[in-house]
Amino acid sequence: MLLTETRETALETEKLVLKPFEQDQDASAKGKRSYLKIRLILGLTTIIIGLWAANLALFHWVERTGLQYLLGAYARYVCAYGGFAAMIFGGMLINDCLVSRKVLKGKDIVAITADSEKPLSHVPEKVEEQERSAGARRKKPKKKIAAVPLAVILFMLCPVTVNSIISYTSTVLIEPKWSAFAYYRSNTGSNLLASCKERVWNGSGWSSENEMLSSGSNIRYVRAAYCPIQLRGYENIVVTLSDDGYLDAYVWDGLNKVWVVTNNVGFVGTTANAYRSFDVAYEKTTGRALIVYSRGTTTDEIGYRIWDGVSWGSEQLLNLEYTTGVVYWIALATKPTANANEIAMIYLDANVDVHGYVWTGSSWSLMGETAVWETSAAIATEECIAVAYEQASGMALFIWGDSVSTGNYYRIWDGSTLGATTLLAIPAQGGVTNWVALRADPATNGIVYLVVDAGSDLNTAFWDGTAWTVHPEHDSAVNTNARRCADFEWEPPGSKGLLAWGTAPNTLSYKRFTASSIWSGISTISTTGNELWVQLKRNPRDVASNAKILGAILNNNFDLGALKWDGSTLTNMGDSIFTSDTTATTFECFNIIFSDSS
Amino acid sequence: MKFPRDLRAMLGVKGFLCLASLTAIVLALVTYTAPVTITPTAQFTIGATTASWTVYVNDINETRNLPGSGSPAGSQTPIFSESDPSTYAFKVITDAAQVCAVKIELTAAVNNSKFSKFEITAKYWNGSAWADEALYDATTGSTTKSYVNGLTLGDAGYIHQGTTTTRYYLIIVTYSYDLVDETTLITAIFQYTPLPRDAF
Repeated sequence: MLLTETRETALETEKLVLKPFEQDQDASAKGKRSYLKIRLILGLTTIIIGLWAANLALFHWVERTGLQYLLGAYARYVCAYGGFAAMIFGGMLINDCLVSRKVLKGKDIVAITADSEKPLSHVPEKVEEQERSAGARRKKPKKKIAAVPLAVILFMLCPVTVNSIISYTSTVLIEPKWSAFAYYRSNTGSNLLASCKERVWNGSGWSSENEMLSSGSNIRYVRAAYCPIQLRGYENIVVTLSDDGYLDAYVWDGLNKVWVVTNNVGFVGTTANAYRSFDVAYEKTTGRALIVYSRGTTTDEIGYRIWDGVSWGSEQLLNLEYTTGVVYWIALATKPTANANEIAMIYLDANVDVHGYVWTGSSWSLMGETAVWETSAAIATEECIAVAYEQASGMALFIWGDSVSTGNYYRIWDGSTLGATTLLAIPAQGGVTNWVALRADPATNGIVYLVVDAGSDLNTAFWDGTAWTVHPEHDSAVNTNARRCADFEWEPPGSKGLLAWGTAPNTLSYKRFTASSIWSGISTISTTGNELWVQLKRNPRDVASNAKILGAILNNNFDLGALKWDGSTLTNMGDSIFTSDTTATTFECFNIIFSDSS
Repeated sequence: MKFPRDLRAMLGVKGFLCLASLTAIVLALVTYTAPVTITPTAQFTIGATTASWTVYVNDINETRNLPGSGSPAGSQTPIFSESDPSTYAFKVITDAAQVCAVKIELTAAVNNSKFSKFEITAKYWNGSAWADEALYDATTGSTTKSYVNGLTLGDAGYIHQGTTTTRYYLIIVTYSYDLVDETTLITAIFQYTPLPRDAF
């Protein structure tokens, strides 16, 4: 095949090249040689256009809007096959030219002679010389000839497709925050005083009022606790004590957005309901909760029920080992250390006896004590007892006021041994201890002890884990000694805190504290009326833009207002922002809690 | 007749075949014009392009609206106003010739170590209230999906709007933020892509 083609090409070349020599016409020969160049150019042009056309038809064909092809629907096929044909014929034409050039150089002259049977003696040396001198020039065009189709082939192998489509976006900035909750008595809603009311802290303000289901009787005391385990981080428990002497429990089921209400979960009687004779606390690790309450009796004095995350267990009884009076006040504290399920309890009864237990997670323990702790506490009708855990060590501190005006006693439970009853004397006290508060520093073993005594003096002392530092008296004439009109709370990172109290009409006084003994001067903010109850709660998280401490104040106008401490400024958010109608100030009828699961 | 003979000698048979091939290509590419008036029509109009939501640690199955109002931020549906783009997420207007699908997705999935749920749905304004809008799994077809899962990268849903309709849409997210006790700001970018179609 190749031989045949070569022969044909040679014969054609003979016609182009040799014939002129036979006729001995040099000028005409030059013209004939230029035909080879024309064929070469035509061949190259044809093969390139063929490649382009085939590529266009195969890969880039577009139906044009507003333009019609002359050949209509056949245009693409004609373009494709025309391109293929152009590549074939163009290639053949180039091949002819290359072969002919070799003939002109004389390389194939023998073969041609053999076939043509014609003498070659007349091949002119002049042509050879011209071809040799043109050799160098031919190399560059050959490279160009090779490069152009190569580029076209590469282009065909890498067809570029660019897609463009328009989309639109909306950007949402999501700001996670923590919530806090206020529960309180208010003569509002459909059930008036017989239903607890709720407001939710949204990061900058309190929500509108939500009315919880009826407790069946006017509410006196409210206590709340937040589930400490992440798995049920949506859960909190609110317990109310009412005029009828019954406790009612409300568990917020955050999954189904409903309150699970258990009315009459316990009965404290109609004597002990004058006091906060119950408390609620969660076990740190299991997430079980305990309601512990006075039964208003002198045997089996305390009852308790366990919330296991689904339902309340039946009432269980605790016959107090060393006391026999009706229990008036109960305070619980949850052990904060990892894997703990311990809850510490201190109580005060009608006989001014003070004693304590710890809940081990399965039973109540006397911590090895074999006798009552105190038989002559300061007062039975006011909350002169408290318990708190050192947040680092996990040791519990129990404290109470004694019948001696400067006397307060405390005991330390280290988890295995109960320390001896030890005196904490606060010489500046103007009377026996009436109301106390015990607030643990979240970062250290520090604890601040606050006392409002029978002389309406306000004093504090700081426990550093090993010893007490008693501070100079803050005030000698607070608004009342019949209510706890003062409170202290630590800021989230610890080591610093805020003391606030009511001491004069239309103002609330406050001081900043830096452990262990540095107090700022007294500052005041404007309020309305005389503040009779003050309650402060620490935000468990420290975020610059969020409140560090929230508070509530109840004045003698029955207004329940809100406080916010941002670390430098104490803000009265409204004297009656919660309600202007608690109708009473006798009881601590409100409680603020932060969501606190971790 | 010297020229035709010279041409034959110059080109030869293959040269003529080349010219024939080129002629075929040229003929294939010859076009003529027909006057066409093209009127671009925008079916899609973006509404609110930014929003802020407040979520709380341990929120379970709470909803937020884009755009939203109320307190906490984003918890309430907006009060709709045709003339106020900040009261809807986007608007789609279709004529009698083309329907329009709108692809709804997040440009990046939200962090599934923070959110245990982030389900995106849509509502439309029915003239008096926000009503639920069906989400489809493709631009065409009838298979619906309950929500776009914002926790899954690339998950998307499609709204199908028929011909000759004007609708205003609202994006709803049902979320649970209950995995971490953290308040770092989070950015979520919702992307809408209008996709005109002849039919669904």
